[in-house]
Amino acid sequence: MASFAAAFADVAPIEQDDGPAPVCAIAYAPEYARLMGFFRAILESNERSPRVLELTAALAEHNAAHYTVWHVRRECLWALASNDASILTDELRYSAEVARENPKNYQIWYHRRALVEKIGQAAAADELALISTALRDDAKNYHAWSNRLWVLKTYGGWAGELEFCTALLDADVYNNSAWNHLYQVKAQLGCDPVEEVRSTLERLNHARENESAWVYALAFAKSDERAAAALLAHCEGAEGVRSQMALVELLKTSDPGRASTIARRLAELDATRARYWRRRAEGLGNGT
Amino acid sequence: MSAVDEAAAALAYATLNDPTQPPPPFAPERHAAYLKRVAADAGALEYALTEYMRVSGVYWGLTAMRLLGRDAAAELGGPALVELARGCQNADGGFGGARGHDSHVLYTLSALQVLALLGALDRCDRAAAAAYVAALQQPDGSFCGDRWGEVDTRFSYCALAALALLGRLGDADVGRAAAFVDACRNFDGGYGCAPGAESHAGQVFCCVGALAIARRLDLVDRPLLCWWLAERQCDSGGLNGRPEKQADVCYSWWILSVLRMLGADHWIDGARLRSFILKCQDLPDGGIADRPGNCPDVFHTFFGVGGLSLLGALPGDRPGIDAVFALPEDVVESLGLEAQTVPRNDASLLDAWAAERRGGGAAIVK
Repeated sequence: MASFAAAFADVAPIEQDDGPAPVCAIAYAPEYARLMGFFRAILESNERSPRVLELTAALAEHNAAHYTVWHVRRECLWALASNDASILTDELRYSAEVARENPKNYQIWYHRRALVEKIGQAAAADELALISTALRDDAKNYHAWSNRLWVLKTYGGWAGELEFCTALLDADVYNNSAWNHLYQVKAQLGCDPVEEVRSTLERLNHARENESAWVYALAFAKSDERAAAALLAHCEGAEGVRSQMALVELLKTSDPGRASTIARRLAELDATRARYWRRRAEGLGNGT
Repeated sequence: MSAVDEAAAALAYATLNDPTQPPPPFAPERHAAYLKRVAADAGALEYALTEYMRVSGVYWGLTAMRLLGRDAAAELGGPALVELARGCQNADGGFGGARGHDSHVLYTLSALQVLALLGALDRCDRAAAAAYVAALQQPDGSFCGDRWGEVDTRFSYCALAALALLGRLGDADVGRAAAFVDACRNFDGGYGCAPGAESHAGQVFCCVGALAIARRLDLVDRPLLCWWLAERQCDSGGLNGRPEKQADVCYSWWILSVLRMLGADHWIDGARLRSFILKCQDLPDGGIADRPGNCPDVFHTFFGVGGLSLLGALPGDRPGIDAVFALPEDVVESLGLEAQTVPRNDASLLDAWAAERRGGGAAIVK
């Protein structure tokens, strides 16, 4: 803190002001409050310099969710990078560290995206590696997944994704994020819908009531008649509640009467959603 | 000892997660006191750390107060809050999360909602705000959140809702906005933050809400989406945001509001959801947490009260909440805000809308 006081000795800090509302003195986190005083002054003066870059890092350490801090940090980086491009690669290292410490933080993931975009293709592989690490700790991290999709769509690299998805599903076959990603990968690389149904059923052998896997298989059954026939053949006589739910979807057009009967039975089997299934049964019965 | 205190004392922590155990009573007085306390406690660390989203916190608190049937403006300090929201408007026309913060469409919507709640929309520069929001739209119909250019379907909702509040929906290309949202529809019927991104119940609210404002609910795969949403109800009675995730009070709002827009809010087990929300109350001190036994916050207090409101579980004479605009119904009515919604059990209306689109006929008004 003392070093910031010295570095910003020429700056008059501005205190928090929410307008004329009765605002008490900040009683906690005096260091954060002091740094914010300098930061508000910087917002007024528009200074973009190495000392402001350091100030934003100190503030982000206190509060990584402060989006304006990250805005100002990027403006400093962009301004300073025109003289020294290495500042961006340093930032890749620094922000990776922050992302590892704050994996659920929205601002840091967007900061990474902006940084990769600024550097371009050369940063794409690094980004995929960082995301893979984040997903090892939390395989459902929404920001990490959406950044991954963005990197792939922007810079390519889809070929390695099949193996990536397979490993995640081997680790946790209930991981909905991995099923969704697998679908995107298949859409990108192309696939045989019948084979998708077959391999999904294989995974379902060990996890019969896996919602994500059933929805995945149904998606291919809806797009392809042979895939639908394969799934239907499996569901006829299969045990479990979700195979019956799949039957409702598979039979709703070809045999709405039977689909309605199954939906009515599901109202008993799936008590939490009893009203939903009764409504489906009625709808299938009268054609709405 | 009051009835609420007795219930709190009798409530063993271990039974909170047992869905067969009855819930404690609803404690609206405690929650109102909690909201007042939070609003006044500017010295707390939490207050300093959340400065960047101050105006959203004000919106959650004000709306929850109104839904509890209280005179929110009088109890939380209406004139000061109007000044707070006005103070967030920047020279670019947009609003930041607090005075001096960069403009963002998230906080622009929150600030406009605060002003709407306090009957003070004409106290800001409406034309500049509308121009700021409309300029965030991209050629593919999507919206950036701010000048940094991040795109997310959350911003589609914020932008359309903000423009509707300003009475300037026509300033955006609403057709393209709906087309972008439709491009984010997944194979499970849900929606994610971008095309191909995993379905997430919070994003589903933003997408279906945007389509409701754009009058394009015909683009929703209603049976598939409602099935996916109904699957979000857990054994605890609470709702989760994605498969295999824990239930969280915030999804009581995100999901129930979408089901309401689609005329299907009675398709899940309302009694068990109500019970889950009631168990998330902090009974001694007021406020609602994300799940039973956790610490309350303003965000979850708003979503819990909003969920109870949609369930019709708030007793007495108080305004309901509008599922599309997330504002008390009387505010929505007085502003003349309109959106498309499906009446209960009338799926045929959706088919009619879809057929009309195909036939190129005039749009049906609700």
